[in-house]
Amino acid sequence: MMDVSVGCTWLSGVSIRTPEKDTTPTLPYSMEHTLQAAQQEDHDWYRALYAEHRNAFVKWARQQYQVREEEARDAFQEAVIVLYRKSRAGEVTALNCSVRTYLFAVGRNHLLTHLRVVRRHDALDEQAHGIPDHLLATNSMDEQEKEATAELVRQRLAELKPDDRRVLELYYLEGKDMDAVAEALGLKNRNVAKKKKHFALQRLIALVRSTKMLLL
Amino acid sequence: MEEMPNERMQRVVQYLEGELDATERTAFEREVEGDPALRADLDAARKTLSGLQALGEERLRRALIDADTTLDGGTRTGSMRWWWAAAAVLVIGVTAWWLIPRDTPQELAIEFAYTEPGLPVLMGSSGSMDAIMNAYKQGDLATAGVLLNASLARDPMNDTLNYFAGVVAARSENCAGARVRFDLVLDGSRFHPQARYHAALCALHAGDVALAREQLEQVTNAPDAQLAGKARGLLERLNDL
Repeated sequence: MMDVSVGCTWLSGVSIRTPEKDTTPTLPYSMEHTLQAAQQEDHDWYRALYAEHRNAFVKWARQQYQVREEEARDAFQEAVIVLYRKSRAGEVTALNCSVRTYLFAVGRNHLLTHLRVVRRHDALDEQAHGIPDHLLATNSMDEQEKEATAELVRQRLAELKPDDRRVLELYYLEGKDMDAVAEALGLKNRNVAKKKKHFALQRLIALVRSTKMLLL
Repeated sequence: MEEMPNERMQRVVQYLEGELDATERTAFEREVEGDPALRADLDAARKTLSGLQALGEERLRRALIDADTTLDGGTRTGSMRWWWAAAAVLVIGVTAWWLIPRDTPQELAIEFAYTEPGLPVLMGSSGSMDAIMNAYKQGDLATAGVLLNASLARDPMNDTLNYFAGVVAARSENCAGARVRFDLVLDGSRFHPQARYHAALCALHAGDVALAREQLEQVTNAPDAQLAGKARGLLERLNDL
């Protein structure tokens, strides 16, 4: 077993030992990417990354924490999404560890948080006996607000002209970089694509803003 | 021809997307402090970008779930002997239609979800509907539900109250209760199309595609063009089930 955690101990305050890569055939993507490289990648790459390491994580998590397979999968999905989010925000460029180590550490943290919530919920179950479930909903205001914002933006996005909508979908919803956006839309270069994205985004912001003014 | 970008909004976007250098950022932040209109632009842009980010994550999550289907389908065939594999291929061929990953009614209900934004609340007003809307918009569904029930006790056939009582019940995963309320939002009410759309989503959650179709067909010509379009899109997808 090899310790590959150098540089990533900050994630949970402790070093994490991930199992060696299993020997199943790999997808045609290099998974030795650094975290910096993850910033340039789109959803296909993240999907391949997930497929490459999911089974190893699930096996490892089930052994370490006696969780169900679905719980381990959910945690690993969450880890890939966190990597995507942080890469898009440019927050992982300074980290010096492999993508795999990062994903295992984030997945582990998510799993431990989930387990703490489940245990607390189990302990509360007896006290909460008789209270309807909807009154015990744990959806935070943040989550509800996030969902409502996403729905609002989804609705306003549908009102844009098709080419405006497409440029925003390619960049924000499919994670393509500007070169790929330019290619997909048949534009001259990334600068033209970027300008087009700026225009489209401004129109979307104006639509979102007009909705807010109507409601509040 | 494209119009010129709004320079002010362009700076807001550049700020949020980390495209300004340190000096420009500091200058921008100072400007925001003294300019309420610019602050409002910044809030709207931040909200839009956070919505786009959430939609991107939602789409990635679907891709990962789809990868699960592919991975789990692939691992089962690894150790088959050839004649067993041949038989399996035959079976798979015959039942391919069923094996191709398809949307389930529940997945479509989630994908086509419609979040009711609520009614406008006037500053300083204190009517019962405003109190309901305030609780609803703050996500306090329990309080909104209690207030709605109290108002419905006084005015049981009120279409607005019944519609929002249905929405609150549906959001609390009480589709049975929601349907009762939505059925009391009669044709002619401004909330009728929305009620039918929500009722269709409830039917999909319960796996009742026929009922969902019946509800959606009443929405396809709704005055709200966006809701009507959404209903038509969902009906098309239901044809692929």
